[in-house]
Amino acid sequence: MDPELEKLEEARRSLALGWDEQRSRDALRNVQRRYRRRKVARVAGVATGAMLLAIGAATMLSQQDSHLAHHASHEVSDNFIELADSSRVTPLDGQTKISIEEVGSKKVRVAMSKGAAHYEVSKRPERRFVVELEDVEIEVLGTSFDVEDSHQAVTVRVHEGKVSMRSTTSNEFHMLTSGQSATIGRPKQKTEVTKIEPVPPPEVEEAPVDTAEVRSGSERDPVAKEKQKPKKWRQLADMKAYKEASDMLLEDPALVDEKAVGDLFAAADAMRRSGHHAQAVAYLETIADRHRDDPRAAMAAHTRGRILDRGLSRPCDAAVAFEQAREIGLAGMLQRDALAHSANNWAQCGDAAKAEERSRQYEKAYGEGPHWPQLEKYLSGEVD
Amino acid sequence: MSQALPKLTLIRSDEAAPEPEEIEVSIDDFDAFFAHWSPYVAGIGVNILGDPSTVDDLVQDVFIKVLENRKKIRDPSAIKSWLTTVAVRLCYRKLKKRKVMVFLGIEAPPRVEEVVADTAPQEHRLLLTRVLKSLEDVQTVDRVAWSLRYLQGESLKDVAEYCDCSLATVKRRISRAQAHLEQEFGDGP
Repeated sequence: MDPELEKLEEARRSLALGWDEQRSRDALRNVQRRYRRRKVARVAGVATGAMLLAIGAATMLSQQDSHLAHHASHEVSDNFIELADSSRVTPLDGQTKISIEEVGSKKVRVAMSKGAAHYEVSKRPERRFVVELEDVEIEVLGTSFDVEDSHQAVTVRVHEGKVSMRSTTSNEFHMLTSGQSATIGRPKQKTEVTKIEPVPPPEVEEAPVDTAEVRSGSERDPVAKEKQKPKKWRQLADMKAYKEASDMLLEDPALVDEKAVGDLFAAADAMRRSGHHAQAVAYLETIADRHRDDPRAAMAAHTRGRILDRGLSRPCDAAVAFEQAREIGLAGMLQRDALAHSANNWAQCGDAAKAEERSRQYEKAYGEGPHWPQLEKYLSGEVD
Repeated sequence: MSQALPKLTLIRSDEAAPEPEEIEVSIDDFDAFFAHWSPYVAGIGVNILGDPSTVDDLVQDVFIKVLENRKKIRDPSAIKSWLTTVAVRLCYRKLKKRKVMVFLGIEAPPRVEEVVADTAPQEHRLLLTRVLKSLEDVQTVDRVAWSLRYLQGESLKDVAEYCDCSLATVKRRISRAQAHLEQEFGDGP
């Protein structure tokens, strides 16, 4: 191979995929929504389709907004508003007045006149997300936070990420990070920035997906009301309030339905993101062991391996987890990665023979693949 | 008229080079199917488009095609090829559209620096940034073939299948892109 291409072959491994679970979930939601819309549009017939196309083209030309033009609207549920970019706004009381002013690829603008709301903003570095109040402007970049607008003051509480808060009358500016809150008082414009302990989870009565079902059930039947309980931690986890979700699960592990793979994954995710790696590993182990036939079992074992390797520094257990993931069967490049991780962890575990064996398997299956420079040394018995 | 796009075909993967083992994930369980395959499609997007902001759109477009064609996809072993072919075809469109939008000043050029991992060594960062920027000036068909070969790491035979053209055509396209890069770099990338 040309030495220059060889250099590129090495460098291309530095292309960052950045495709995490949250991004995957957001994309899946958008796919389902866009597919539903396409089906509806088809049924509506040629005339309506032509009209929509004309409106769509006009919107595109006027806004020069190619990125979100085809799905730049928002869906209103009983208890939250979902924007076209997957961000969510959840009013926290009956007084809250929210108006979606602009949803584009460069900017999303939400006007809020009073009340309180929880915001969960999807990460899109290329666009600004702005919440406008009467005399305060809040700007965010992929985060979750609460805004409360009383007549006397505007309060912002940040659960995750970074938020800037600026008074439009005094131009006072504050940057808030995770766990901080700030209040800009009226009419004196006095700003107070504090560290909050801990951020209280937003109180939402029903899970957004099956709101109607839960509400009607709980109104009639106390047993149905009790069934809401497991939903609450899941909703918190889905809203990225991982600490609150994991606290609930640590207090009552029985909240997780071990028959539901989705719940187990969500619980593992909440635990991992809130730093409870051992608990995360346990949930993933349940998936890989008890739901082996589920298509997600291999991914659970692989994720477990990564946590054991990086989060808990248990290379021997990590190696076993990667072996299990391969045995169940991963897709495409993940299978290759699992084999490489397995070899690396066996080496760290001190099992040179297994590290060598896996490296030889890798060489046979993938030749000089991206992990080869690392694995090659195990063939000569070099183990760190 | 622009270069013809590859046809949407179901291809059985029978290449000589060993492929990673694939597990069967039923399209009927679409959530699981999406979780299983979306990272792979996103990887194709990163490698060919070189722009993180368009990868989400690509993934969504590919999986909408899956939903629309799910009854036609009967052979699970052909799914990877099918997804790659669809993704490549959509990448053509996105690249061509982007060229026009950038030319008209409606869109900013892609931020190729963001595709490179923060942890990448400086040498790799510079090389990849230069390569991706240079590829912006390469013809779309040549760029796609070159990216599939050298960034995605596909064999020539697979590149030909995914681009729906002959092996000779693929070689010509890759050579043209390579010649452009060598000219840009003086002595090759």
